[in-house]
Amino acid sequence: MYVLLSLLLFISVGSAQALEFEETLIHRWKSLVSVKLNPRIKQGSPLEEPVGTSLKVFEVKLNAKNFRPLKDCVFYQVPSSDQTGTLYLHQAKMQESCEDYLLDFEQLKKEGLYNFAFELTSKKLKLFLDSKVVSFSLPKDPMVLVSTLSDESQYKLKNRDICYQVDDQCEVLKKNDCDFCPKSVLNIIDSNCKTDFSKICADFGCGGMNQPACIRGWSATSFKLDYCIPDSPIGFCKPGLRVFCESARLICK
Amino acid sequence: MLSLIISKYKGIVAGLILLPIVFYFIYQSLDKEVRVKDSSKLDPIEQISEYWRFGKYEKKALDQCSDIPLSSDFIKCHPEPLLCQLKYSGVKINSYELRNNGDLYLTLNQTRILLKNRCHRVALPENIYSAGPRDYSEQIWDNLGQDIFIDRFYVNNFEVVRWRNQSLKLSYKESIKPATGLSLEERHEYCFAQGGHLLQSHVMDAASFFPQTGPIALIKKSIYPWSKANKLKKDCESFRFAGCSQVSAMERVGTSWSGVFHVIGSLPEVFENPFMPEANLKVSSQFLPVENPWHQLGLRASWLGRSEFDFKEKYLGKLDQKQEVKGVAFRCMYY
Repeated sequence: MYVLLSLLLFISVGSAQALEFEETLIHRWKSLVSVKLNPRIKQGSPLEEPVGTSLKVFEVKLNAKNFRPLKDCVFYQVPSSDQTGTLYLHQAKMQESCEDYLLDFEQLKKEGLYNFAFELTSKKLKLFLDSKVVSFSLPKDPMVLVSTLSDESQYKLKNRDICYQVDDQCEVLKKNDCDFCPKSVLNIIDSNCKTDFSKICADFGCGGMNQPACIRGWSATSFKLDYCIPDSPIGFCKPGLRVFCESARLICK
Repeated sequence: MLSLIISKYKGIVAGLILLPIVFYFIYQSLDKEVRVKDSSKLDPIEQISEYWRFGKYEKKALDQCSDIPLSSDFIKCHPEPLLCQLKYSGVKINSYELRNNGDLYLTLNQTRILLKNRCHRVALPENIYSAGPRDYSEQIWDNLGQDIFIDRFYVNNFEVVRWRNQSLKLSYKESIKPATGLSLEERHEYCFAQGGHLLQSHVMDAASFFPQTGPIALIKKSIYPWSKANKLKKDCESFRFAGCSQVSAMERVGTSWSGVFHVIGSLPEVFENPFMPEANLKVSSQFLPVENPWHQLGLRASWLGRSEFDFKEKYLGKLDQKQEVKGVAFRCMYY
């Protein structure tokens, strides 16, 4: 009888904990912005190897208070013969590496898992937790942002800061945070990338004295050489000023 | 001994046994809810987003609450009808805050929603463009790799009042009048505060000239925005010239292929022009008769930005100074 009672109580409490994890996640990830997968982990099938190890499964970008970016690092400890699987996550700043928190189990977690898998489509992120499926919508309307977190990150930009940057190969060196500029944004020429341009925070325009050169473009000029030369045709200035390349950036003087 | 205790306290024992079972089934039923739970279907965020973006409110919700007509473009991305609708629908908002760039912050049930004010912008398709009124121009440029968004309408009185944080309550009729009372410097400041820049003249040209194919060095230009045929449409529905009714900022007239309005007629409009800074004013407006040669795309005069309408001749000889012209409109562009 006592065994039966204890068993029933154990099931009840366990069920309540599970509920708390999923409910918390459903509320928290309403503010989901994007998901960055670990390319080494295959989605759609249960994570079973390497047995007993902890893995970063994916990172979830979220809107914190005032819509500053934050991320949740999502880890999974793969079940082994002597322990069940644990899904756990750690909130981190955008510039932090998730791997630093690999062994930190203190934050939100769900233990006792035997089968964990996930699936990411353009519209949804689905978590398969044994027999349960919890799904989260990815934002489809860029005009509407949602924040459910109370944490306020110290993310600030000021005028002239680079808020988006690409290199000569069009690789993104700094992802686009231009929504956090105090006022406006300006495209600048600071690379040979022909399909994308870096951006700075600005409360000024282009083409004036000491301002970034306005963009004439690569296609309009059919220019094939390095952009960073005096009188570079890729940019243009107001009459009376010339294009110069200073600190790898086209400006007007 | 045990059976004696059980028989004596059988009610309590039965309760002790049944209670966890009841708890278990309650949690199981809740658990099933989680199983089918989808965060997108649980809250009114999507509904709020639809209202904000498309302005399809219930007529009854706006009665006695907002005077903005349902059919007006002005109703999109506007806080007043949204708050009317939420009140009518019984959605309890904890707080709201309207920023001076028109973004609206709502808080409901520990969730903060940012509704961005981007309903009235259009993206300029990536292409090679040419500025100025003539077929061939040295002002050739492209926006490949650049996102450029343009205000579809003029900046209106409501937006300027909001920018200045004035608590002035404007009627719908007053709100949608084009904002014409700002100095050139203030117009730049307004656009910066919206996250943009005063619209550049060559970007306006790109959004106005009807697209034509041909060699890049010789980009064909149409005189009017509605087709390649250089045929003037002499009706007030196509564009606003002298004798037509006064134009509102949000009216769909002077339409271009890109979705930008007032590219011809309506009001004179000032631009930033990095190619030719002095050529900063579109003159075609409701102050000039329909046959006036200024009613062509790409033509610019010069406005000095003072409170008086004060411009120099450019391109097509002198404008008839006798025309009574009042008010210069403007709009912004965004990267």
